[in-house]
Formats: sequence, structure tokens, C-alpha cells
Amino acid sequence: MFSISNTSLNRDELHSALSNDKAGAIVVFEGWVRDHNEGKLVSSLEYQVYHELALKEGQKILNEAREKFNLHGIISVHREGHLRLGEIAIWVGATASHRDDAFKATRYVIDEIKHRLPVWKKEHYVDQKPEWVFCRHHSHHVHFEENDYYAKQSSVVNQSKLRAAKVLVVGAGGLGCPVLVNLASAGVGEMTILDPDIISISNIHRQTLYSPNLVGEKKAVVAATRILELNPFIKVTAVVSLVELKHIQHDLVIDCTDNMATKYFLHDACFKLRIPLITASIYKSEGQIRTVLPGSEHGCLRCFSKTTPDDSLLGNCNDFGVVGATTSVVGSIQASEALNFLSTGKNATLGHTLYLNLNDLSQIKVKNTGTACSVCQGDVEIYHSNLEVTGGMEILDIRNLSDEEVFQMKPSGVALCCHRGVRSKKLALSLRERGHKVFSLKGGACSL
Amino acid sequence: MPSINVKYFALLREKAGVESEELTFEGTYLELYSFLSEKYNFDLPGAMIQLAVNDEFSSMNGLVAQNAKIVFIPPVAGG
Repeated sequence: MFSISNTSLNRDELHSALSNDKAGAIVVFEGWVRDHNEGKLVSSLEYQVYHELALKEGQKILNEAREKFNLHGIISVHREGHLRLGEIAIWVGATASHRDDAFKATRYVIDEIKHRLPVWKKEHYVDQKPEWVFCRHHSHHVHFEENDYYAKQSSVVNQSKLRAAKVLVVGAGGLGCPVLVNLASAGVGEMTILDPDIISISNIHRQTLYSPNLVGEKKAVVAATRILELNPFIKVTAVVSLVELKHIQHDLVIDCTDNMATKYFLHDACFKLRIPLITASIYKSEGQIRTVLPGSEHGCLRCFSKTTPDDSLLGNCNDFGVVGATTSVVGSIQASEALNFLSTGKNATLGHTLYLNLNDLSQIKVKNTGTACSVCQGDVEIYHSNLEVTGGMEILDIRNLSDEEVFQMKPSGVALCCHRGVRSKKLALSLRERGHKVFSLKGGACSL
Repeated sequence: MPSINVKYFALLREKAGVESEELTFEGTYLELYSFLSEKYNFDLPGAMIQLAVNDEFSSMNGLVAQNAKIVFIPPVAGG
């Protein structure tokens, strides 16, 4: 059992949890907070742990130890938070019939944890500023100063504004990967990554944060881990979910999604919540990028047509094909626009939408004319919100009905129910855009 | 009849088979789009198309102006 604790470890409790009449030996390793490191006087330590991954990786290490050695039990706990001198930072205990297995297993676990666990350590000193200390992939500690990390960009960005910024990146795919890498390494202080999907093998050619050994893993979680490795001085949160209104509470939203329903939902929500948005889309080797800013004179996507484009008429990257070079360029422009906006409060794609063609390297810039329409004013119905329900209302089973038949019924005040809740959600969204107040039963008939 | 230049993007460019062309047309931009939809088999409704006239987003209901540089931009969603 591997766990993470934010309170002091009780060695007696851990010890007795391992007691077993079959065991002939227990070997315990305790890592303590000591008062010095490389000539500096340490006063305390701070650990930051990336929970979701650390728990998984820690458990994996214990399982490996069980496979390699003949054990009766093995437990490890890693601390997080602020630790005083002398406190236990990590505890590993293994029991076995014979001492050799217990010694080897404990040694294996502590060595692997040191190398593999996503844990960051900040040392506080008696007589100087605290420093982050990096232990991963090094047999010795390496010290880095946060200011040195940003040394070569300090003349081109406003670092303190970037550090204070909270940015939501929706979609961790072709556009999301370059956006995340560039914003993380530039030092955007807090980022939330939202994506409901898992990595598939056909994503990897353009989604540069992933590799074949990660197929099946959650994109948001892997992306968060990867960018924290690039820059441990920032905070990153992964949310494995479709975007909902409750997720949006940031200084800036970056739309890296691949469908109109979500793009227009984000757009409308940002106007309702008065949050700036940088949106981008790709078609084969063409990309378009626009920034919208509620309260500005530059308008919105609905100024000249209130219609939400129908996804079923359009397709996405999986349908029409795209190369990684295209998504990387367009996503990097999006990131650059975000950094300019966060640093200075303005950027180029606020005044003009950029249309870029990577085949002939042509571009056009279209002036973002506003009509101060109702959506610009924030007077907009958010179709996405409270779309899914788990029951509590009349159910309309659509499993034996075609889409057209459901549309003709003009349902209202009911929850559509299909097999798994995927088709019903899509239909409910389309119906809401036509003015019908319908819901979708989450998980479909399978959940009943 | 106003002389105009029409430029196409993304899937409209593929259907039209040309990047841009010179035309004469009298009517609204929506009528122009409908005319071109018939000519090239565009299947996206006009309400889904964004229009730029002389590099500025504009309403489909406006009248086609002499020497207008017109771009029909279909919605694209890839990411």
C-alpha cells in the first residue's frame, strides 16, 4: 500500500500494520529532514506532490517489489507539505520470511521512489532564500533558481504578470500540446488542463506530449505531468471532463478543442463571465486564430450570425487529416498571443483574425468588426450548462427513434435517454440550440 | 453590375477548385453565396459562413459593393 500524507507519520502504527506471524524479518527505511545540505543550513523542507500520478507510480513500485522479492507485506508513505527538522519525510517497510528479501525490497522501493515519483522538494535555509531541489533522474541534488529559469525571456515578457496568471486550456490535443508546453515553460503561474479523452495511437503524430507507451492514459493527467517536468515552478491542475460552466474561473481561456459545440459554448460562456478567450481551429494545412475580449469594441463570433455551426456538417482533424507541423505552428501562435495578452493586456489577434495557410505560406488578417450584439453584452443562453442529469425527471427513451423523429417531437422538460448517454447528450444540445429545454440522462440506460 | 473579387477558404476552396476569381454580381452577399453554392455545390448553409469584405467581418445581408474584395470563410473546428 502506497500513500501520501500531509500530517506527521506515526512509525508505530505503520509498523503494526505490517505485523504478520509468517514474517521472520522486517526492514524499515526512514528518510528524515536533516539540518544541512551541501554546506547550507537547512531549517525546514517543503514537499509538493503531484497526487494522481504519484499514487499510481508509488503503487506500481510496491507491486514491482512484490514481484521481484518474496514478501509478506510492504508499505510506503511519502509526506507532503511543510516539514520540520527531524520529521519523517518517507517511510518504507517490508516484511518477509527471510531478511534478505526484506532488505532488498526496502532498498529497491526507496531507490525507485527517489527516481520516479513526481515529488518536488523546496529547502528552507537558516540564512538564505529557499530553493527548489531536484532529485529526479540525478544521483546528486541539483539546485536551480526560478529566476535563472526565465533569464533569457525577462526582457520580452512581464514575468510577474505571467506568474500571477490563471489560465484554462480546454483540449489537450494537437493545439493543446504546443499551447501547454509554451505557456508552462514561459512561467504562467497556474494552469488548468481540461480534456475528457484518453490517448490513442493515432493522436501521437501531432500531439507532441504523448508517446506510444502512454496509449490509454488520460490526456489531461499525462499533459499535466509532462509540463510540470518541464517547469516545476508552476501549478498545474488536470481535469478529466467535458468543459462545464463551473470549470471556468480564470483570467484567460484558451480554446484548443476540435468541435463547434464546445467552441461556441466556451465563447458564449466567456462573454457571460466576462473572461477573455483565444480560440483557434485547423483545417488540413490552414489555421485560424482569434482573441475575443468581452467589453472591447472587437465583437464576437455571433455578431453577424447567431447560428452555431453544425458539427455533423464539418468534421474534425480525425476526418480530414492534418500533420503535426500544422497543429504545432497554429498552437504556438495561440501560445504567443496568450503570452502577449497576459504581459501587456493586448495582442494582434484581438483586432484581427489571422487566417494562415501553411501550404503557400499566405495569410490574411480580417478586422474584427463588432456590432455590440446581445452576445457581446453577455446576454446569452448557455446551452451546455446542466445538460446532463442523473434522474429526477421524466425520461424519453430515444433508442428506437431516429434523430429526425426526436426533433419532430419537440420534447421539453424531459431527459433523453439512449444506451450510454453519448447520443442523447449530442441530441439534447442540438435541441437546446433550437430552443427546447431538454436534458440528457448521464450514462444512458446503462446507468438505470 | 458591381465587379468583385471572391476568395475561398478551406473546404469552399476545394469545392470551388479555385483560390479566387473575378465576378460581377448584383444583390446581397447572402444571394451571392447562394448563387455560388449552386454553381459549386457548397453544402454549408449561408448562416454558418463568415463573410469578410475588404478584410473586415461584415453582414451577409449587406449589398455587394463595387470592387469589393470578398472572402467566404467556412467554420472549421479541427484542433
